[in-house]
Amino acid sequence: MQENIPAKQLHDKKGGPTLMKPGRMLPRALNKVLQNPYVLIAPAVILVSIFSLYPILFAVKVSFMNWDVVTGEQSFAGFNNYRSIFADPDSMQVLKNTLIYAFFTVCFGLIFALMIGILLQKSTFLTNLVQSVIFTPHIVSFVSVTIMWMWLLDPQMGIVNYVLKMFGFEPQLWMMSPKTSLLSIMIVSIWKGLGFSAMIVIAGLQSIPSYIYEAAKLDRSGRWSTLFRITIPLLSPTLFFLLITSTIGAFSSFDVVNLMTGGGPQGSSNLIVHWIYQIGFLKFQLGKAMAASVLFLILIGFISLLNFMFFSKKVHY
Amino acid sequence: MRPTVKKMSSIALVGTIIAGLFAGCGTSDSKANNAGQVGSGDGGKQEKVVVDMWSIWDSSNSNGKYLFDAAKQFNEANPGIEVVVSGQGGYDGVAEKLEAALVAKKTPVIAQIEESFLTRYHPVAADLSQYMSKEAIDNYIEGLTRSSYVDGIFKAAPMNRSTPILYLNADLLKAAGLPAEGPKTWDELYEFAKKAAQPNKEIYGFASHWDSDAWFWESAVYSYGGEIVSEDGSKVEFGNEKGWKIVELWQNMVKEKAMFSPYGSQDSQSDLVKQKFMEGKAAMMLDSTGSLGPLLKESQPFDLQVAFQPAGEKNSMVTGGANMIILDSATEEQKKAAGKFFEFLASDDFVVSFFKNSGYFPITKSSLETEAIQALYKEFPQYKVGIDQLQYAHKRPWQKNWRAMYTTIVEDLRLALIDTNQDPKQLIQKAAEKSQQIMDENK
Repeated sequence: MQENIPAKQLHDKKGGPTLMKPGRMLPRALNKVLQNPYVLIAPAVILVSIFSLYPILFAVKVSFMNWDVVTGEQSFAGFNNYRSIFADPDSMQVLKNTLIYAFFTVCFGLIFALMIGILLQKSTFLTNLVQSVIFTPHIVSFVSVTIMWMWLLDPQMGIVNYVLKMFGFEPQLWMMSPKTSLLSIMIVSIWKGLGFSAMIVIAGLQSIPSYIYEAAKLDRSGRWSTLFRITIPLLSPTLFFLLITSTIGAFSSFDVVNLMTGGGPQGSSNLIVHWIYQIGFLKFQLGKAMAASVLFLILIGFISLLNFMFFSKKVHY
Repeated sequence: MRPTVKKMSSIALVGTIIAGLFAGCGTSDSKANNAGQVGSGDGGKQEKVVVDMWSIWDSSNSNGKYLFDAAKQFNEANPGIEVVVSGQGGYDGVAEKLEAALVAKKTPVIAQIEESFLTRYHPVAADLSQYMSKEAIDNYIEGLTRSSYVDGIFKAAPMNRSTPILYLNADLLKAAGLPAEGPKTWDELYEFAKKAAQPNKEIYGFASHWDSDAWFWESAVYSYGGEIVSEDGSKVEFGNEKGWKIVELWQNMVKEKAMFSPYGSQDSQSDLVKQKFMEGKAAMMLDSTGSLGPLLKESQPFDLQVAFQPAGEKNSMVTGGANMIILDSATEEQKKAAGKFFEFLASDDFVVSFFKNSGYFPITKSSLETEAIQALYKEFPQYKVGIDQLQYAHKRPWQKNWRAMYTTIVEDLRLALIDTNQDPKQLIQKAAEKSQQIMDENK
């Protein structure tokens, strides 16, 4: 029984602190209850069940139904909703758009974050200032960021086209053209996510012990070989974390599409989540929207699994 | 397995948490239901019938302010009723929230919906003739109730309604040697625009945009004798010359720099067009009659006149704006109270003041006879043009998927003016195919 443990033994064998003995503070019965792990995780389990598990099961159920919410009519549809997704020409386009968008935003997001992280890892007044500035987009809401970028990328009045013209380049239509709309939302997403990723990279870089760099210096390791043989391998857990979170983030992007292009023109910048929203709330086909959500869940699970299989072995812990 | 104190107590605690959660939900539910039906006012002395109204405007909106004030006045005059208006974020906002409310079975009593959305919501809308007097219903102007009937049943009461109309800068037209009454047809408009345009002074002959729901394009299609969907709503009918003629015409005007069409990334085309016109930089502008009130209130440095929307093969123009429905799921008392509120909103006093302030149509016949409106006509004859035009009113497409359809159509229309090398025939045919697909998928 824990109550008999003397106070001085309140550390585990490795010397780490254990939970403080609550017996003195709380009535004995409550104390006993609180020592049961199931009680402690119960609030989280209940909340997850209500707000995540139930909606998922509900989505699976509705995906096999035709449901008109106005008349309240419900009928069993079998796999018709799933079939209509595969038969829909839009589905292949949004999948392609999403894969391109996710690949480029994740790759460039990580590369830029690494570059900025390495440039800013030393703690001086100037680098701290630049760090704060770069982090700012992360705390600003997507709505504000998007509105700002819509002005910058405005084909007629935007500063980006002005600069392009100044350097003799052809001005672009940006989100107004099917050719550049996806690129436009990628630019905004990368820019918005960069501050957070860079900050995580800097934290990761600062946790690499300096003696390793000193040893490398003694061994006359060059700048590039230090980067590829020391910095990146030791940073791999951080990069892996960013890879997983930004991949999931990229696949579930909604706000940037909804605010900037609405998926257009001609579906050229439509991504999966926005497309699902359109099926549900614009075309009012709830069954099909739920079926698309279920397939999307499987896709995200599969991609996360691939990430784990291919990259987790290369991660140094 | 023997139940221990530890196990028992943990089960008890988990049970308490779950019970608490459900009890919490339960309490709020019952409160919400009560609020929707009857609330106690006057310190509990009198039971009030509470009528929730979901509006496209919130109270900070200039038009919304008049509706909120009207509800306040109505509540003061009817102590047994409390109309509670709440803004739900525009036409699309009301539609989206109504969908969610239908799933949750927590609908408001009144919803202010875009005219064409009745095609979707009529199964849950009450027969208004049960809750409004025959005189009140017959008093609405006929052109505005064409989209209020479903199978002969009056289900939507007009609220803020408008049509497109041609605004003219008579000074610029006269300076170009053109008649100040403006063009009668789209072809004439093209000729007028070319003559009135002065590219060296950055003056355009014509300024407009398609509108976010392709409203102006739709109206022009009707004027060319076309239709968007067939009468029974099963077939797309715009994938032909009548659908693309106006696109081709506007494209040519843009190419020849006779037309100002802002296609910037901001969703403010309407404001930019109006701004151009009010600065005296556009001789003509196609816009809603709903803009007339605010534009006439502004001091213009030129003679502002209006004319019918140009004809293609005939005079025909779309109506727009919002109607109000009563949800059939409300209690009988609520529906009666809501009907009473609709009659209040159709009273001459409110109709006249709303017309004067907003520029939206006076929606009733009797209001047109009032001294206030006659005096207004004398001072600003421009107001009368919009009313006269109503004899050619055309209702919006009778298709429950119209919202999904126009979202895709308007993208192609915009592209036609952004990239003037695009073939309008191909764009419209593609939009028609896509629209047909949307309709077929969700019959």
